[in-house]
Parts: sequence; structure tokens; C-alpha cells
Amino acid sequence: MSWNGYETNNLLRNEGPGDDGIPRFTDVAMALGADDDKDARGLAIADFDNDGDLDLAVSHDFGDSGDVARAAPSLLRNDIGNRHGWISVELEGTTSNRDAVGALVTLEAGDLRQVQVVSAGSSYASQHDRRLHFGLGDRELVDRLTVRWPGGGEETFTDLPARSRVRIVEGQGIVEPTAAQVVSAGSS
Amino acid sequence: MARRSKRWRWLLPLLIAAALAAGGTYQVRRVQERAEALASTGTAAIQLLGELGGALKDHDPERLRLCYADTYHHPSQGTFEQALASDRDGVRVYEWEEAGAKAFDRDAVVAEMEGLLEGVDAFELAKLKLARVEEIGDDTAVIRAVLWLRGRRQSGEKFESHATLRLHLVRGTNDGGPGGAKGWRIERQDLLSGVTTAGLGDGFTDVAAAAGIDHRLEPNPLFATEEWRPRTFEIIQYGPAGASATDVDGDGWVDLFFGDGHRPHLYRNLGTDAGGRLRFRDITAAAGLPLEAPGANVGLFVDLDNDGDEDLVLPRFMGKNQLFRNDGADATGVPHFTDLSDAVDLGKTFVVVASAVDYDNDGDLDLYFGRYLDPRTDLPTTLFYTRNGQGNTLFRNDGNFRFTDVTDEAGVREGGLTLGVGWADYDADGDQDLYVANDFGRNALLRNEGPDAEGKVRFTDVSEESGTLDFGFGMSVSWGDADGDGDLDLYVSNVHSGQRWYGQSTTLQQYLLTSIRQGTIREDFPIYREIYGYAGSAWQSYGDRMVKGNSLMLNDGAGRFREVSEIAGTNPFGWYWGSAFLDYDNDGRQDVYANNGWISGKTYADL
Repeated sequence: MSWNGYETNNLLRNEGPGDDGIPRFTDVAMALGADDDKDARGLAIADFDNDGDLDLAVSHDFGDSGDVARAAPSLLRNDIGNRHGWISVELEGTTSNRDAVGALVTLEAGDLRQVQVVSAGSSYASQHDRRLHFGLGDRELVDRLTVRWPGGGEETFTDLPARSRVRIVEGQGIVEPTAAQVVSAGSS
Repeated sequence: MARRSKRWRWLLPLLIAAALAAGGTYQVRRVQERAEALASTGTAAIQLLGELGGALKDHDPERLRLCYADTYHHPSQGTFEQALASDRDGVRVYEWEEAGAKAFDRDAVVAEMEGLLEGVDAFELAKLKLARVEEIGDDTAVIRAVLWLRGRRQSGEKFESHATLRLHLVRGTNDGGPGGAKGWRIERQDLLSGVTTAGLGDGFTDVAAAAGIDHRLEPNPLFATEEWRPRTFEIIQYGPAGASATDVDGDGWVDLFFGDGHRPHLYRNLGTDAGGRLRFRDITAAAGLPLEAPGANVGLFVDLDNDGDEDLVLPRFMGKNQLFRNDGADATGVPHFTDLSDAVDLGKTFVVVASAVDYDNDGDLDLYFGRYLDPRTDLPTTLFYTRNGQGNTLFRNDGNFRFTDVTDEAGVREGGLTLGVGWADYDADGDQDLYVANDFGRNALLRNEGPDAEGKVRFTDVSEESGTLDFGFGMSVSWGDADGDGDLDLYVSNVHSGQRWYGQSTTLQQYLLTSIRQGTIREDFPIYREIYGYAGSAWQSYGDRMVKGNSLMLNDGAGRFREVSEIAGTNPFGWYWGSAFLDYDNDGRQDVYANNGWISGKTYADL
């Protein structure tokens, strides 16, 4: 007997707003092969292979099935996302905490507008990569990126190209990417 | 018996008060009868739906036929058509509609349902789930059910369908079917909506084992000891475990940590090889981390001393919370951690989730732990408003790895059974606010009010005024901009199960009556009063809201939220744990991934 067992995870694709302005979502997990049916618990998100799209790490409990393979974690590598453009933003605080936890980044690219927050600990017992990843669709340029540091300061950056990684240090602007960032940008 | 009647005497005033609280004119007896009718109708409906789903899965037209009444009649029913609505990035989406409406009898509807099998190679799953009992008559009922199909087409494509049907049920019209002569049958059905998604299933690939992530979560042995055996709340053992993505060695490749409740594992990301394949190596021991940490569910990697690398906070369900300082990577690139736990007091026990935030804006990260109940002695006090958690804790970072417990000063103890915490400045006033998702009971939004006259930062519970009061079995929380309007919205994972609700349980009033019957109303009454205070006259519907599933709450930009999951389609059936916003397809819109599943047994049989 199971208790809501063998249920599959959902990948709810945002289809954009309906006439009422409320976004509509469609579950595309099975169509894309992200429909893990194990007893999933933790979920940590990052671009683990630095190829320009977000991958999913999922931990599982052992349940009561007796099948120990179901207690192995999954790393669902995204093989489809980088068809479209993106930008990755890494922040480093100076007067704010160095991890920049709590910073708000607002991106504007053409008609696209989106805000993301740097967090440390969310989902269930999980933590995502603190680099922020923005999808851009087919837009080639980020018109404006506004960083609101947790301490309250605000900085704005303009005309950033798609498919790039930027590292921003509080008060110092965009700094040279690290060696690994150069390597991974070359491989994408 | 004498003792019981005595108890009833002093309970009488409370009973009356409770009945009044339940809606003034509401009659206790009617509540009882209604609850029983709901439960028995729900149970019968679930049986019928189970049979119908089984008949579809087994491609058995005769069993399918017996689920429909011989009196089946619909004056103008159409045939199911699935129209292509979109085709992009590996996913085709079809919307269901009815076409060519005409009068349907039983033969016609059975033929229609059989048509669902056309072109299908195999069903991985075919079932109908009870979503709602809409009306109950003497020998009739109207229910809403979701037809759920997963399988592979003969073309090789995988597909999944969800179609919502309104079913008019009648009892005792033909025999030989489910429940015999008195069984329920479908006398009329209407398609309300439906969607099918299809694709080759090749958008994501599980590369964990191939990449060297090869451990398997093991049971925590301490749960089997006399000291830690969860005598009252046994299912806590199925709670682990978390996952953390962090660049622990600062090389630009994001590493992975699993707490796993018993043996922690830190995997270093070695980058991709020439073929683009990811490789990880387990460096737990090499990095100086413990190979056993019973009750360590979550690892939090944060730079607590602002020196440019991520330290590890390893809180525990059993024992003292631990802290490891990251001393940087050695010549081989492996980071080394030093255990500071003996010198640092970060509290202990019953921690399930952890987070870091600079709540006082002093430039360093503070720590907030979400805690559960003591499973050796306690049970959740109610299914929907539990307040007997061990109490969450907030530790202020005073520099040099010194911390002070400021939980009560800040007013963030909470007291629910916390499984999810999320921080963000949702009201854009320059300080960090907190949303807490609690199992068995209400979630809360705690607004950071900034420092008071004495310089102490305090929080206020604004759940009600902000529209974020949520009664589900909260298990995770995430902040993100779901509607792309530049402010932060909330996604909270819960349980969505009409089956469990209508099949086993009843309404909120029924809980109240049970509480009276069990003699626990004196302890429970303050909770009911509090719910009534929050929910006002709408409180009777809170039972339904409890199992309505995951919540998507849209921020109006002024700090007020509207829960839109039913409209947005973000509350699928299931039992949800981790969840997060992400833009997986880089189209500029925030999607959601939600982990689903509670306890898989040796068989698939379930409600």
C-alpha cells in the first residue's frame, strides 16, 4: 500500500498571462522527461554544467517500497533550455553581506521585466545556487539591470549582451569574470 | 459511562458556543448528518471512479459499460476533440473540447470513452480522481472528477492528459457493476476542460549516477533507538532529505550537498569533460566533514565571516546544531572545513530547514532555523492549524562566528511545524521579510518592521492583512516574479487531495464536533476561536482550502496578495515537498518545478 506514492513531479510551464492578467501554467514534466516518480523531497537548482540553462537536483526519501534505487538522488540535466538566450548574474556584497543574500535584481529587456532575489535556503530543506539566471527568449540585449543591495544601495547597468555571465561587486560595478566563467562561456 | 456524562455536562456551554461559532443558526445535528452524507457519497464515488479508471487502463469495454447507468442520457453531448493549442520547445499542448453535439445514450458515451484508447500503445496510468462533491441528493449526487491519463502513443510520443468532468451520479439502476445493485452509476457527464501535453520526453536527462552521484539515502538509525524512537509521530522518518547547490570551492562549477538525515554527502563538481558530460566526486571526508550526522536534514552554505568562501551550517533534528568554517581550497582544489561546533551555540534539535538572511542590515548573515515537533511525545494538535511545534529560532551574527539567540526579541518563534522558510523584501522597504510554510497548519507572512526605538528589529504577523494566510500542509516556499510585473510573488507547496478529504474526512465543523466528543475541545477551542477570528464567516470553507493544493500568491505591488492557483493551474493533485521558481526554457517567464510524492509502498495501490 502506498500513501500518495509513485506520484510524479511537475514542471509547470508559464504560458504567460490570460485576459485577466493572471499567468497560466501547463504541466510539461512528462513531455520533457522531468517526471520523476520517486518520493522527492529536496530541490536545488543551478546551471551545474554551465551551458546556459538551469538543471535540477532532487533528493529522495527511501519510502516503503524496499527498492533502494528509489533512494538515490537525481540530477536532471536540462537539454532544452539553452535554445533561447539568457544572462547569469553573480553578486558580491562589500558593505552588504558578501554573498549578497537579499539583493533584488530587476531585469528589463524590451517588453520583458522580471525581478529575482538572492536567497540562501528555500524550497524544502534546500538551497539554490546564489547566481541568478534570467531567460531572455530571443532578445539579444538586456536594456537595463538594476541591483538593489540588501543594505539599500542601488546600482544600474545597461546594454548587457545575451548569453553572458556578469559578476557585479557592490560599489565597483561589473568586474572581470573568473577563469571558470571564461571557460564555460567558451563552451556554450 | 458516569464519567462521560459528567464530562458532557461541563462541555455543554462550550458545545453551544462552538455551534454558534459554526455559523449561528447552524444545527449540530445537521452538521453531523451532512458530514456523514458527504463522507459516504465521497467513498462511493471514489469506488466508482476507481473502477472506471481500471476499465480504461485495462482496455476493458464491458467493465467500462457497467460504470454507466442504463438510463444514461445527455441531450447534447459532443465527442472529445483534442485541438493543438501550441507546439514549442519540445512540447505539444492540446486543449480538449466537445464537437458535433447530439443526444447521447449509454452506448454513445461508452463508445466515446473507448475512443480515448485509440492510438494509445500503453497507459502508464489511467485514473479518475475525485475533485469535489458538488451536490448530494437522496439517491443522486453531482461530483467533479479529473480524468488523468499518462502513456505512450503508438507514434512513440509520451503524453499526459488531465480532463475535468462533471458527473451526475445515480444509485441502483443496473447491477453487475461496481457496488452491485445499489452501486452508483454515471447518468450524465459533461466535459468542463481538458489539456493534453505530449513530447518525446528528452528535454531532461537524469545524469546523477553517470556523473558520480551514487549514494542512496539510508534510514537514520537513531530513530530505532529507545532515546529517539518517534513513538507518537512515526511518519517523521519519511521526511528526509534536503539538497544544496553551492560553489563550495569557488571554481565557478556549482557543487552539490545532500544532508540525507544520516550520512551527509558533499560532491565536488569537476566540470564537464570533452564530451560535455558532468563529473562529480564525493569529497565529504577529504573536506573534513563528518561521514555520519544523524538527523542532519539540510546543509546551508553561506559566507558567515565575509571572507569570500561558503561556510557550512549543519543543523540537526537530533543533537546540537553544527557549524564548519571553510578554510579555502588546498592545492588539489578541495576545500577544507574546520568544525567550530564546540565553540558556537546555534541551538539544537528538531531542525528540518535552515536559511540565512541579514535581518538587521548590519552587513553579515544571520541564521533562521525551521523546527518541527518532538515526534517522541507530540502529535499535531489539529490537521489544519497546528501550533505545538518546538519553535523556530533566529540567531544574530555578532561577528567572528559568535551568535546570539534573538528569536523572542524579534518575534519569529512562530510555533507551527515548519518545513519551509523563504526570505525576501516583498514590500521593497529595504529590509528582509519572512514567509513560513507549516505542516498541518497555517502558514504565515512575518513583516520586518525594522529597528524600534531601542534598535531591536521586530517582526509582525501580517498574514491576514496581506492575503497570504494559507491553511494547507505547507512544505516549502519560494519567492519569484511569476507574472513579470517587477514584484515578488509567492509559491507555497501543500497537499491537494480531494480523495482524502471526501473519502476519509469531513468539514471543519466535523473536526470541531470530534474535538468535543474526544473531550479535547477545552484545549482546542482557542485554536478554533483564532481561526474564526481570522477567517470570519468564511471559516466553514477552510476545510476545503486545507487540501486545495499548492498556492500561487500574486503580489499587487502594494504588499497585498491574491491566491490564484486554481485559475493559474499551479495546484496539481499530489503531495508536494520542495518547489521553486525557475525559467527552465529561457523564455523570460518564471516556471515552477514541484516535487511530488509521499510514501511509495511495495504496491501502487493507493486512495
